[in-house]
Amino acid sequence: FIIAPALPVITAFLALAVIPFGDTVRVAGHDIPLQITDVNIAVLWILGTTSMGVYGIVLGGWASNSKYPLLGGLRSSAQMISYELAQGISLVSVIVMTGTLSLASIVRQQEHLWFIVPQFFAFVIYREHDGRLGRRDHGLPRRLERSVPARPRLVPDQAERLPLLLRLAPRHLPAPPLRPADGLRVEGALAGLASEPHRHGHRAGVPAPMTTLFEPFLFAMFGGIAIGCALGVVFHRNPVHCALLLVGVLLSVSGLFVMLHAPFIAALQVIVYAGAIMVLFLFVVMLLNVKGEAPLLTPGAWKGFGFFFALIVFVELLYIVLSQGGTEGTPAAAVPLPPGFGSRSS
Amino acid sequence: MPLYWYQVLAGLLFTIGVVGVLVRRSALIIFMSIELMLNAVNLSFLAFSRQHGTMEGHIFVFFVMAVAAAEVAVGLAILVAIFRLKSTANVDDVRLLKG
Repeated sequence: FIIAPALPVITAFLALAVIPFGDTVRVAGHDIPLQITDVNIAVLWILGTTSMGVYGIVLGGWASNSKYPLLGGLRSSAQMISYELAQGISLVSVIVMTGTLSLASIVRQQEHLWFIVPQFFAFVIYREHDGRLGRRDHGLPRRLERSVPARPRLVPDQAERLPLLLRLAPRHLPAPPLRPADGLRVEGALAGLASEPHRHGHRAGVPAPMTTLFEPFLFAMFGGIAIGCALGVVFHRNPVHCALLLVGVLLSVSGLFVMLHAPFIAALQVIVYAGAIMVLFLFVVMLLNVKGEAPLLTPGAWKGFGFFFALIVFVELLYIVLSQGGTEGTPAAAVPLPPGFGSRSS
Repeated sequence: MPLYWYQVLAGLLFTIGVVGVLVRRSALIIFMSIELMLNAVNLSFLAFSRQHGTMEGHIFVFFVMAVAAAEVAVGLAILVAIFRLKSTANVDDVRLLKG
């Protein structure tokens, strides 16, 4: 009840971080870029954060502990996901045209011709599906209208629509003309954390010592969260808690993917796995109203064999990993990464 | 940072998934543990891909994710069908074929 309204608001404002509202302006002697951060996978960032916002709707309906709000929440989130698909495909046409996922460069490429002209159908599809989400009747026929309960949260509704509308603008309409890349001095958050400086040639990367300092700490953080949530998935009794903890595992593993120089796979993990597959799980849990199981140590149901075989599996895996000479230093340093590793150009 | 730490973490996540599959009785939690195992394998693939500097690991992870999505859809459909029949998600109760 407390977390559910916060989720769409948080994800909506997160999505605002990469939207270029305009060029760098000069205020009181300081150059202020009107884009919080220019991540080179900005489109994936927006898709990922908005697909995580769907959880707010699902959880809000479930937290009401009542049948019809639950069904309303499930229906709304199902709509959001299915319209995400249509809007995503309309965005792909723009991405293919521009060859980049960075919103700043998409805007820059519209200097001479707005994309609404060559991509008119994509624009219409995008706008058509955007219109449905904010409507009170959710695009349903009139007689079903009354069965959709009034969702009590207005701020998340408007906050959700904001990134959708703002997504539209950079794609098909231009911002004020941008200067070349030297005007954008803010580092992308994803780019700064765990990647090596030489991968981003044209802007000053994070100095190397910071990366090597950060990496074990980040690994411990993400790994610890992953293991903690995984244990929670296996040992919690309420299936909804298990599903949400599995979302936690997926998100922390996505962080580990970024550290392994796989930002695209990380974004896919958030958008597809955590954003769609786990919502599907939650749908089924809530629709079937699956009750929690009895506690693990019930008499007459010995679980010992399961733990024992799992222990054997773990020992085997450890032996395989550690016996291959992987304990000597950092193999990563020996194999220099080819340019464009983990991205489209490789 | 030595890359074998990623493999150990992946092995640990995989083992926790195995525990979930073997110990839990609810079919939904078993599905979630299977997803956990698939994620551990993805992590392992990407760590190896980073180690060798090749992209084959990424492509395999792509496949694994697509297959996982399809498998979740089909598996949950089967679960819903069984639930409609027996109104339980407990795998111990699905024993009609037992002699």
